Amino acid sequence: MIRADQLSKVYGSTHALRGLSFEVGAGEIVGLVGKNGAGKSTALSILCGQLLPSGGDAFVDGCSVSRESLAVRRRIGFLPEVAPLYDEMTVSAYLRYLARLRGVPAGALSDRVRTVIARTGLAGREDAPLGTLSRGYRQRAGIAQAIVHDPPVVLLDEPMAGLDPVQIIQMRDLIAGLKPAHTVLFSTHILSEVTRICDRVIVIDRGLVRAAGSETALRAGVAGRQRLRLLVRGGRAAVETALGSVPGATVVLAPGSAADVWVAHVQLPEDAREQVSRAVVQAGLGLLELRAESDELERLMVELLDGRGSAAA
Amino acid sequence: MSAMWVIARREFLRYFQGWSGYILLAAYLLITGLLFNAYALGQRPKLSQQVLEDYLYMASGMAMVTGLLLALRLFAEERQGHTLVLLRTAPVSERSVVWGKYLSAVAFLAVTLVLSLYLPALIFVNGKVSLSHIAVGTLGLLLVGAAAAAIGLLASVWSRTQLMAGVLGGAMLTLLLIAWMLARISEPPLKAVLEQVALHNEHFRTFRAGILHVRDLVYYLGVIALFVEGAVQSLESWRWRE
Repeated sequence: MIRADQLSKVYGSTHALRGLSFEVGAGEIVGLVGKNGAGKSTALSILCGQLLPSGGDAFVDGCSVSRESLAVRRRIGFLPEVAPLYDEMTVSAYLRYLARLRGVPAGALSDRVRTVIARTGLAGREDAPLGTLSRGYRQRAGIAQAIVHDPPVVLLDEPMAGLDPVQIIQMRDLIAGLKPAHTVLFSTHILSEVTRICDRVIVIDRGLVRAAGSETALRAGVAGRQRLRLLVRGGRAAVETALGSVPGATVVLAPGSAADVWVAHVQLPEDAREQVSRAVVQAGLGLLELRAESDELERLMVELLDGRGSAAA
Repeated sequence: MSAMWVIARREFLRYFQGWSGYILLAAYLLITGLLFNAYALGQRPKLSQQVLEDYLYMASGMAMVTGLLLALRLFAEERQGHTLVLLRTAPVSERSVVWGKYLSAVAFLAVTLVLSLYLPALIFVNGKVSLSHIAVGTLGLLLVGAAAAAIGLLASVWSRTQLMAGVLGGAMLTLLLIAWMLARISEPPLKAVLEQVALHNEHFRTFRAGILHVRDLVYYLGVIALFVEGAVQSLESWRWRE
C-alpha cells in the first residue's frame, strides 16, 4: 500500500533523507521509529504530498508522490505533530468543511461526519469550538479529520506527543481501531507504544532505514548480547577483577547505597549469568543482586541505531 | 461544488465568525462617511458630478487599504495556526486554494462597497449624475481594491506572520502607487513605463470620470492575475523548498 523507493530530501546542505526505502502492506499498522532529526517527519511529509522528494520516489496505493500528487492526496489522511485545527470552528463544522474539500459527496456528508465523530470518541462535543477542547480531544479531532474522507492510508506524525498517560491509552486504542479499514504509518519516539499497536517497526536514522520488521524479528537481530546489573559488596578493585575475569565482559562500576557496595553494569556477548555469579562468589564478594537488562526496547533501539544490531527482514 | 468554491465560501464566512470582518466593515463605512462629508461635499458649492468624482477618488484609497487588509491574513494566519497543512495535503490544486481564498476577500470587499453605495445614491438623489457613472466608478473601486488584495495575497503567501505580510504588502502597494511620481522625474522610455505601471493615477482616472476603458480594465485584471498567479507559483514551489 505504501512503498518508499530510495527517497532522498535535501534542505540546502542538510540531507534529511538519504535513500530511504521501505514498504507497508495493506491493513498494516507500522511504526516509524527514530531519534529526533532522523527524518521521520520529512518521510511522512513526502508521503502525504506536502513535500516533493529531491530524489527517489514513493508510492501510495500505486500512485507516485512525485508525478501523481493529487491522486496520492486523495488516498491519504494526515495528522501532523501539531493538530491542524481552526479554533473558531465547531467540531462538526470543521469536519464537514474538510470532508467537502476532500470530495465527499454532499449526500454522504452528514453520515460520514457522524460516523467519524462516533468512531473517534467526539460524540457530545460536535458543537464545541475546537479552541475549547483539551489536548486529548484536539488530537482526536486531528485523527477525525484524517479519516473523514475514508482514505485507505492514514499517516500520523507523533500522535501521542504531549498526551498524558490516560490520553495515550485512549489514543493507542483509537489508532489500533483504524485497522483493518486503514493502513496506518505513524512516527513515534514512545517506544513502548510501538510494541502495543504495531504489526511492524521501521527504525530510521539519519535518513536511512536501519532495521525493519516485527518487534520479535528486531529482538532476534540483537539477540545473544546481554546487559547485567549487579549489586556487589566488596572492594572496588576486587569487584573489577572478579567481573573482568568473565570472558568478553565489559564492566562499568558506580558507587552503591553503602560504602562497600557497588553497582556494576556488565555487558556480555552472550548469556553468562552463571559465570558472572560464580566469579563474584569465588572471589569472596557478596552478591546482593543480579538482574538482566536485555529486554528493554529502548536499549534495542539504541543498539540498532548505534550499528550494533543487524537489520531484520 | 468545486474545491475553489468550498474554500471561498469558508473563507468568506470566516470574516464574520470573529470581530475582524465586522470591525473592518464598520471602519470602512465610518471613515468613508466622514471623508464624504469633509472631502467630497466640502465647504464650497460643487457640481454633483464633481462631488461624485471626489467621492470615488477618496473611496479608492479606502478600497485599496481594505483590499490589502482583507488579504493579509489569508495565508499568514494559516501558517501561524499550523493549519496550512490541511490545504497542502488536500486533493486540491494550489490554484484552487489561492483563487478560492482570493475570491473570498474580493467578495467581502464587494459587500463593503455595496453597503457604502448609499453615499453615491445620495448624490444621485440630490444631484444630477448618471447611474452609469456610479456603476463604472464602483466597478473601478472594486478593481483597485481587488488589485490591492492580490498584492496582499502574495505578501501573505511570502510571510510567516500577518504583521510581516502587512509590511511587505504595504511596501509593494506603495511602490506601485508612487510609480506615477517616479514617472515625473524619469526620462522616456522609463517615464512611459512607470506611468502605465502606476496602480492608481492613470488607470483609475477614467473610472473616476465614469468612463469604462478596456485598456484600464485589462490593466487591473492583469495586475490581479499577475499577483494571484505569483502566489500560486510561490505556493507550488514550497513543495520543493520546504
